[in-house]
Amino acid sequence: MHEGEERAVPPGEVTRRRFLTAGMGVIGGVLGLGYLGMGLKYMFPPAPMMRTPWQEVGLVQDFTISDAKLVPMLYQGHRDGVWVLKWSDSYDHQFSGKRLAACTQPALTGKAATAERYDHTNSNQFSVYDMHCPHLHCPFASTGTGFACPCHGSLYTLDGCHTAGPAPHGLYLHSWKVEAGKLYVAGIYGFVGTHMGDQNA
Amino acid sequence: MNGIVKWFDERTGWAKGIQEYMVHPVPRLVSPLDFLGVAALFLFINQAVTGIFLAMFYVPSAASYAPHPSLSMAYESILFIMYKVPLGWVVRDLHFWGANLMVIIVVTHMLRVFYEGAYKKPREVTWWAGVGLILITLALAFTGYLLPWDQQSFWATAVGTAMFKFAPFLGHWLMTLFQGAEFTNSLTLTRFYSLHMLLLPALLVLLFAVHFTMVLKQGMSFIEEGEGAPKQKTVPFYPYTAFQMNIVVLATAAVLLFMAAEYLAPLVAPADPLNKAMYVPIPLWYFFWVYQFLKFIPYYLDPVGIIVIPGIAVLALLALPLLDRGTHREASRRKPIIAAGGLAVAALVWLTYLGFVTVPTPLPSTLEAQAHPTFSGTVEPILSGNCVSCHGPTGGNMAGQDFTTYAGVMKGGNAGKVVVPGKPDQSKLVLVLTGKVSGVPSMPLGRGALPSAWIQDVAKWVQLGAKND
Repeated sequence: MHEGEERAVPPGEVTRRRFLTAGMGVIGGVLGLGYLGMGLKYMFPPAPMMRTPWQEVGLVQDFTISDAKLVPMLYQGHRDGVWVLKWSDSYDHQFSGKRLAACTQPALTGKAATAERYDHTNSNQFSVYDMHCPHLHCPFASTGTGFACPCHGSLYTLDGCHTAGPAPHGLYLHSWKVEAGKLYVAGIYGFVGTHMGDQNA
Repeated sequence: MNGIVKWFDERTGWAKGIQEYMVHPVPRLVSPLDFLGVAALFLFINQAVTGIFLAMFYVPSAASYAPHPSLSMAYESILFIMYKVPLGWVVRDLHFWGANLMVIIVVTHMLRVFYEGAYKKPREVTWWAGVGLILITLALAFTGYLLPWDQQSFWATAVGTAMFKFAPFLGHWLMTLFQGAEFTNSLTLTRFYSLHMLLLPALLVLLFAVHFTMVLKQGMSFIEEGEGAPKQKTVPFYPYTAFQMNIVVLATAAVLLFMAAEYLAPLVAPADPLNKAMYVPIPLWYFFWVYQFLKFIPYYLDPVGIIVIPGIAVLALLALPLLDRGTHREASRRKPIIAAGGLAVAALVWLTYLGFVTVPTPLPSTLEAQAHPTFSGTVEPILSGNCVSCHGPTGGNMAGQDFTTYAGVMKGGNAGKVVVPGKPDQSKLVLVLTGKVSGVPSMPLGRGALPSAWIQDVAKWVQLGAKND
């Protein structure tokens, strides 16, 4: 029999030729998967790069009550910004619920009139919202009485509650703390409309 | 010469194949639309050539350009290409308009093939490769758009990549993978650069090889191939049809050259991740239909609008030759298919139109005019971010102006002083920003006016005596 010609072999029988063919396929597959795995690992930011350490964004006295201000910060190591809204000059340690905002879900979610509590600590002395709209990360603007996103028309109250437009929930919340009269901000820990536990002050 | 050809042919055997291809018979009557694929090939070659040139000066870095920290290296390198490199603006314009034309041509090419039923047996593989080529063309356009790192491209990308989060299960992971973090940032730029320069062109060439080989192998599809169609008179491809093909390529080149010469590729203000000037993000014009669609649907349908519908559209295109298997190619005998395609095109055109007419007006800028603007604190940053790329040493001190120093600002340019201390309404520096100097275009050249707070700051600084403070 001539080399390179396949003799008639019953299906299922493991011939030397079939073994070699499968072997080449396996070797190619393993090499390919190896490169793919390496590439994904290489591209995915490692955990330390995804963290956002505490950073000072200004003096408490620099912020005006009820006047949202956009300040720069580094998020995951990159230039970013947060809207800081000051509610009162000091932290209310006897939190009594007087600033407990209730987000009334817009009718379009089908959950009309269900008041949802959100993380009260974030509406105590300050609220710190990420500058990106939770819908598709457009930069939204302050309207004085709330926030408006120009891209697809989502609207938010000063409390960060989502009231109109296609956004899935209220504004993203950054952790904050006040030390020695300075406001410090860290990463995003949740969004308005959820109860994420006490992470502040 | 003949000897050399013979030498190569002895070894490769190519001459016979080329010869056979060149004289193969084709129907005498052809339409210019039959050569849209060749026009697309020409445009891709244009993209490759101009892209290679652009890469010689382009710097894929969002890091600050040291002399003017408000500009990124990427943005500054685009300015350099546009205003300093000999014919740099031509190369960039050819690349920009080539990309736009390529999207138009490949989509028209597909619509034509769809209408003529040319995807039918035995050309299914050619069609699939074509669908892949369209997707790669769009991906090239999307990734290339970010590279100038201006406001428009930065925010279009921020929104475009955020859409990945709606993919099932892998959404957040995919979004982070493309952006290098949770929001668009400097890593996104280098990722897109790599995809735009290496991966996507390689994939495009690979699929093009499949597409083109199949076209050569099977010849072009003409409606006359259909069942019962009368046989047409034929002519050899070369030189008759080849000549017509070259006319189409020339016409495409003429349109491209006209656009490039007449319309400067846009470059708006440098990307600002804080968006202090409240730029309103808009997508590339060929993604306006998605943009408009997302305004119509509530958030819980976003995965449908962003992933499911486009996914179904691509699958439908791929499945088309398997679904429409009748032997008839005439549109009149494929009414349901033509109607479905027509509806889809009409919907896309309508959504695109609505998107264009409903682009929102900018929200009030968060920049506030200052009561006591200083030169070093206020005016100098505005100048270095918006003016010195032309009116500075790196920009060739256009109009004789050097705005990099206080002395330069006060000295003025070829047409005299531009600052009259205390009198903003007589200072050209202020007036050009509002477009009020006859014979001088509104500044910054080719861009929209600066935010009014900045113009007020410059005016106020002049009014307060234009001091070096």
